[in-house]
Amino acid sequence: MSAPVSSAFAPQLSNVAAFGRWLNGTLASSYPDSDARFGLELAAVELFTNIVRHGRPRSAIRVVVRCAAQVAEIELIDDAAPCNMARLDGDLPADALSPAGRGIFLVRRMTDSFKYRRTMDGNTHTLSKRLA
Amino acid sequence: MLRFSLHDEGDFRILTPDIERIDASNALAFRDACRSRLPRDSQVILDLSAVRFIDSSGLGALVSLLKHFTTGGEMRLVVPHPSVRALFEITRLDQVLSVHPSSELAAA
Repeated sequence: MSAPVSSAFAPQLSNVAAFGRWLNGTLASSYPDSDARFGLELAAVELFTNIVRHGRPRSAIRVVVRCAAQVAEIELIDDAAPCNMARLDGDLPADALSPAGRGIFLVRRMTDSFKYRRTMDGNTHTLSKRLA
Repeated sequence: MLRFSLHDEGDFRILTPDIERIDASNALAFRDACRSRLPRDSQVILDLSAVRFIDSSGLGALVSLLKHFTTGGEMRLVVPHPSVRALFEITRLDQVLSVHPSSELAAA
């Protein structure tokens, strides 16, 4: 496994693209297949957006990326209030046009594993996916 | 700064944004920029050939755009990027949005 790579992004929607580009570039050095990376980048971007919109953290969102030979793991760490676990579950609504839940659905659909942990200081969200 | 090219081809107005990503950082601006360029009763092909990434906010912007069009108006999407196009299927939006892998198929 290569050494973890980390960064931090101010919790603003205007930073979503910068976060996504940074993550894609970080993953690309270990996983050259862009189609394989797409789903994990999407899941992480959806999660980042969710944290900003619903968690409203005070401080920057920290990101830690760990790349093993075949599996990539991404941690998003924030200091927001505890997540409403009911919001982290769920499938697509019956009405395909309804936006509700589409983001979290994609987080689950695009990853092999999605875990949430509440710590003393905030929340840790961990995504992992086999990319090779 | 969002850039677009716009031209007419047959019955269709072809709007081609020069944009690589549509996500929460720009989805609303993208939607509003498209709306301002497209009359509600026009038949439109929105060519997303440059787009290599879209998230749920971007998909929501496209759904919102669909609702912009009134009777006589229509929007078809060109989405050549396979991973982006697959998202429309995964979210079942291909059942409500007209999505095509090429502009030739979109115009057919």
